Amino acid sequence: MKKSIFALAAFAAAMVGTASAEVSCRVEPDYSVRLADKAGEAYVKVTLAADKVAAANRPSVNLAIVLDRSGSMGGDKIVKAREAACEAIRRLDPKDIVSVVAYDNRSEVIVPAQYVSEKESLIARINSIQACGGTALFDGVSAGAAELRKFRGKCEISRILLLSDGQANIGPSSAEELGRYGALLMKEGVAVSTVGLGVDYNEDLMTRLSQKSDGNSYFVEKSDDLPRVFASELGDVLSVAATKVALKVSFGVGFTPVELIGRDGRILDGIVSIDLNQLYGGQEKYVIVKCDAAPGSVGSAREIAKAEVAYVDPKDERQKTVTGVGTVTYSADATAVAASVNKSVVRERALNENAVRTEEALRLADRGEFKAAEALMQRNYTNSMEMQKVIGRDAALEADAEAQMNFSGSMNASSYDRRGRKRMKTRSFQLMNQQSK
Amino acid sequence: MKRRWHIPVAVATLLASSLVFAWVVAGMIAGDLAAMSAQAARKDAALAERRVSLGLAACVERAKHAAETAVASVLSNPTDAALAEISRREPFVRNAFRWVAGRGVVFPVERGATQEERRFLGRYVTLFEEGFREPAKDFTWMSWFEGDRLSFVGWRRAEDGSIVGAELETVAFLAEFPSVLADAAGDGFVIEVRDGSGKALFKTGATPEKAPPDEVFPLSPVLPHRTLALWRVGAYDIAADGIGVQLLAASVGCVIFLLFAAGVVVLFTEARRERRESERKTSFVSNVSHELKTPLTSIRLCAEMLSEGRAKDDAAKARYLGVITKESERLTRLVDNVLDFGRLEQNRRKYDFVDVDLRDVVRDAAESQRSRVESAGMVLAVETAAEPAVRRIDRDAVSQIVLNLIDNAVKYAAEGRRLDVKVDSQGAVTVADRGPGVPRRDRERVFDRFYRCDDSLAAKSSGSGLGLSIARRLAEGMGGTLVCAERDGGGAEFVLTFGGGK
Repeated sequence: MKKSIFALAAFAAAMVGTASAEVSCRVEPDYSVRLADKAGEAYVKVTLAADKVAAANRPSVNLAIVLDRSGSMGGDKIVKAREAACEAIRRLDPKDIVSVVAYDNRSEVIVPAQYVSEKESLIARINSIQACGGTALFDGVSAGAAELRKFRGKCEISRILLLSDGQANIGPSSAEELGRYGALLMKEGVAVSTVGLGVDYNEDLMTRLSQKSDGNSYFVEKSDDLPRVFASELGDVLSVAATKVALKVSFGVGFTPVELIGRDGRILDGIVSIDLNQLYGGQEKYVIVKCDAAPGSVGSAREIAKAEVAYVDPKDERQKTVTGVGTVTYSADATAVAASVNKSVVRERALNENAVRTEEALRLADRGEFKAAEALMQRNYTNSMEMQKVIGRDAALEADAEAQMNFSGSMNASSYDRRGRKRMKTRSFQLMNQQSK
Repeated sequence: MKRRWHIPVAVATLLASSLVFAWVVAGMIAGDLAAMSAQAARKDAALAERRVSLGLAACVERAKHAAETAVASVLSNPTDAALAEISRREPFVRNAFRWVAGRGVVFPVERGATQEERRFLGRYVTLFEEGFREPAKDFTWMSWFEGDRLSFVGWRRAEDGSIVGAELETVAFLAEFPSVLADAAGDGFVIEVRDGSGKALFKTGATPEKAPPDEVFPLSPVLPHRTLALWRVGAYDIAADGIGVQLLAASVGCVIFLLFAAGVVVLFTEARRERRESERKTSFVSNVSHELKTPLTSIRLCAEMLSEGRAKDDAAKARYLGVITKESERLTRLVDNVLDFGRLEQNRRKYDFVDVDLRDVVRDAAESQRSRVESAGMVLAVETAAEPAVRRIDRDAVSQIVLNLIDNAVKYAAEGRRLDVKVDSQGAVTVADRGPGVPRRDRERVFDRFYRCDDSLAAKSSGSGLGLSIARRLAEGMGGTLVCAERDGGGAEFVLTFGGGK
């Protein structure tokens, strides 16, 4: 018995080892049975998933580590940052490429882009980084991007890992500009993951840079956590199962997309298109589309949406496509409708709605409009509670309701602080981008 | 010796004035250096500005070219999908648009399909409302400000008559700025690009403490409302009050001061030497006069006694005549020495070299002085080696050297009661006494002309200070050496040597 299990495991491993990771696509309406003859709105969740990638089979990575070495990084921070960067390098293999850029008033390439062959000499160079000067974050990121470009096409995955503990004060320094730079890097297939350290960095800028380039974003309060965060980021990077992911969703007769919840994408001529930089093995990414729904007749069935995912398989660099279709039927029976609810769609919709509202609440609170901000957070709380009436007790929604309650309590001049803001901002970012924490 | 207070004062004055002079010169050098460096820096700053302008212009041009190419590819069929694809794929294009006369913007669609498109339409609302009346066939670019944020938008006419254009992705070329600036700045400058309000957009290093910048240039037309500020650092950072210049000037000042001081010391020692020399000459003249006068007085006294018939008997007469003879000889020696000295001084002394046995010459010379040595109360011992010591020398000169050495011993070492004259088997001639000896520090100086260990008329013994000087000059003139050494058991020892025997 034991023997056969081992044999099976070995067989499975062999399968994973040789075959490319499987990408799949699901299209799910919030209710698979809709009330007949009634117009309304429908939510469609399109989920992309990729199988786990076996370590031996993982694609090669071109990683640029961009470290803040401004004066504020002095002391333990720079020590831990160096440690984290070394930790990241230890996880790479000789087929990967790494570069290290440090920035203060301007950027300096500490390790020019190169294959990871002599780890110890790279680590020695990283350990020479000292803290002083200003925060030319943009310069640092663009120098990191320049290092990646040196080996463009040599690796399947390109990634910038940016660490900052302060406000960018030299070069383009607004969230908007850095967001644009993220969008530009996205076009080049580069994702920027940002690690904000301490309570003084600009979380808007960092999350926007990550969001626009489809990278991850982390808030690290204590520098002790840096090595762990870098390691977890490396875990994601090393498990990329699909790159240049383009999702197109077309809708069936009677359904018109009006809004994407939590994600920015294009809605043009009834077609939703969204670009993602990559999919990680063993993780899901999804998009929730809100639609206007025309009435349907009892007993009829309709295709609500059809998704087409085009992506590049990093293993063989080939363009591949998968599709998914979602259907609904119409019924006059309200209980049948209620019973057809898809819990995950409702849950994720609520969480994303709340995340969007949280961002809006932060904008209001930044302007000092705490009353309005608090009202939004309370609405989030209600939303989470209400949705549990629809799908029953739900751990994720309960946790969200609690978080919203706590945040709404801090929506006043005396307790609205940088730490809380960073937590909220990062939380809503990670939720909307389905980042594994 | 009386104290000469005016010498230290003169030296101090000279040194002080040279210090002041050095300081003034250093100041002038510092000023000149700073001015020269400032001029060079201005020139290089202008060059750096050119490089920045050209470099930035190249970045912008590259972006424009990419956008133009992308737009040109859709001119024949500017569909919405094709336009959307431009901004989705082209890194240098932020947004593409299409405008039709009478309808206004047709892409992005009304209110935009993405957040970015909505913002884009808002940003260029005035441009689109005003419309494109006479767009050139080629691309037309314009810079656009939203607040202080600069962007570029360009367009041209499509084949269907509509206007197709693109907004540049500003950050795409901004990302290239730091390397352009760093290249232009080099080690000599810190460069800063500033926006309309003077806020720093980029800088190549920490801005030096000294604000404002050394040079400011406008960056238009490449980047309107942007300026370039430059600070001199490193090699160029030469201000008259800068530490580098101060150091340089100070070292120049030090060199000048040292040169002055060295000059003063040389002059001073030279003057001292001259003074000593003249003092010695004076003392020589008085010594010689004294030396001449003493025998003359004796001769005259004896001659008067004889002529006045005051001599009592023949013995007295003979004694007087003896004194006259002895004193005349002394006078002759003195006059010979003075004459010799004159010739030696003017290098007119001629030597008559012949091969002779040193033993004969030395023995003859010593024996001729035996009576004088013995009358001075000394024992003269002459000793020569068994084998001959033949040297090519001037016989008279060697005789004179020996005479002078013996004369010297009689004058200064008579109390030693013994004089040894020796020629050894190597041909070295030694004249040694048991007198007080010559102090170590005077052993070379005794050969200086006019030098006497006790240089005063009140000294116990008299002398011209010429004897030893002449002896050494004669020895050297024949290629030999004459040195003074300490004698074992006390006394002085003069050793005369000539090169190897024949």
